[in-house]
Amino acid sequence: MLARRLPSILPDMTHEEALESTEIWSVAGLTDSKHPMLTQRPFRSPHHTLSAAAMSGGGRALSPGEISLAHHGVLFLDEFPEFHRDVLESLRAPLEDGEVTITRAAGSVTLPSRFMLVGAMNPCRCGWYGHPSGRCRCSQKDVEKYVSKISGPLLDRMDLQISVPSVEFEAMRRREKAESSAAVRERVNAARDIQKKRFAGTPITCNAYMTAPMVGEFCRLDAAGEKLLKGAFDRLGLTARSHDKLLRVARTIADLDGSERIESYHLAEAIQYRNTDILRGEG
Amino acid sequence: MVTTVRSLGLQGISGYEVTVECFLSGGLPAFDVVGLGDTAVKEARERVRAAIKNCGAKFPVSRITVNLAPANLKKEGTVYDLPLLLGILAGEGEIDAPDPASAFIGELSLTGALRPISGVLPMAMAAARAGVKTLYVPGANAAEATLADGLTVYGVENAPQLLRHLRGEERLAPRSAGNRQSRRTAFPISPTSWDRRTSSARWKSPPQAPTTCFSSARPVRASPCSRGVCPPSSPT
Repeated sequence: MLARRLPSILPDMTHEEALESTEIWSVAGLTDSKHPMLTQRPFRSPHHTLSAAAMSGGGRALSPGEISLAHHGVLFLDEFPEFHRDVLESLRAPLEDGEVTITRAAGSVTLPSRFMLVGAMNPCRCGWYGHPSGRCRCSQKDVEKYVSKISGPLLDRMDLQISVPSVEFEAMRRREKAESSAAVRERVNAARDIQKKRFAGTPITCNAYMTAPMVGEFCRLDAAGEKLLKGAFDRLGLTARSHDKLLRVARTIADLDGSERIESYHLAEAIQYRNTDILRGEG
Repeated sequence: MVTTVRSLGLQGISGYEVTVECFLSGGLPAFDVVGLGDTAVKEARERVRAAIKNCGAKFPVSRITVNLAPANLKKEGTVYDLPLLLGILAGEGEIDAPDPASAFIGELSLTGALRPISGVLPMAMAAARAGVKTLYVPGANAAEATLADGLTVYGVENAPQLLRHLRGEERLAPRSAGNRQSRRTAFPISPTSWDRRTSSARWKSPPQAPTTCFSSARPVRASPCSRGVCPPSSPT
């Protein structure tokens, strides 16, 4: 439910991005005379029964898959652990490279696939693990088996991992006016503008695509930040990949805050998004 | 005599130029298409034959050989129906050979009407790169083709209309591209995860105004949903 609201806060598409995405949608036969061009970021949410070829692209005509249709947009995988293992693992390389190369008898094509991956899952098969009511009837082994369907390397590529507690009845019925999507979107666009200025003259447009040297240049930490990062590394057992990812997220949080420097509280926020015990079977 | 008509093909999501060569010679009547076409390309022969006859033209009684160059790349789909038709009619002398700076893509129905095809934007961009100045596409694809810069795009509804245009009897009006900003606002699209085939309703109503409980056709109660039951389809 939350993820389906995501398109309303996504930053605007540039003309070049819109053309790139439209090319892919055009080949897939998803444009028509009334809608010849994508002007909003695509949001794809395929069902978990889809095949690896439908996800990454393929078929006789080497047509684009879901990851390419989500280019410059969002790929939302609901019931994440229910997807076939080979489908999930096929996401790894495109997540790193932003493109996918498919080789079949008909030849080999490279399709662009820069997308934001959003996955949603239950903590266990019955869905109640960790709930204060204690309604979960899964054994510890069942819980571990369910969670282990998401492989370590794939989880490592997730920048933000958030466990969402169940909503209390009173909170659900309370009619408080939350911040509107339009307001959030304005903040997102402002952060994007900062990033556009930062990366002017380079091929990339946002923090997520920073190369390792760029991370070194733009994500400098102060002494307190360095200490915090070292502590997090030792405690959470982070990898070299997650080190760069952590700094990219911290940079984005600082941008949203309008801050030139990455303060230690920006870094702390980034670290806590990596610390979901439930996914490590320690909930 | 060999007539050539320029057309386009798709590999992955990038287009490339295809030259449709058409040779009418003596011998037993036959109609062959070479150049690694798939089944849809082979079947184009029947569509073209019927379309030519239903346009009021005569299908030549001669040995027709069509080559889709470069002949080592696989050709797919129904893109080549239109260039095939023009190649044959030009070979027969019904029309002059098309201007070498123009390219043609489109699927034919048996009646001679043009049906939309997919992958028009990448092909139009490839055409512009290859130096094509004028691109003829099915009418339903014209808006998409205008997104490529540097092309004069004609949307063609049916083959007789195109033949009259090429003979100079009744010129078609080119589709205007407009500037970038107007293109974006003129073509709203709803990029939902739903497929066009499975949820046409979602596509037919692009989310522009905030969703209201009651349609504006009933202005009396046209107030935004206060009960929070309407799904927000646009920024709320």
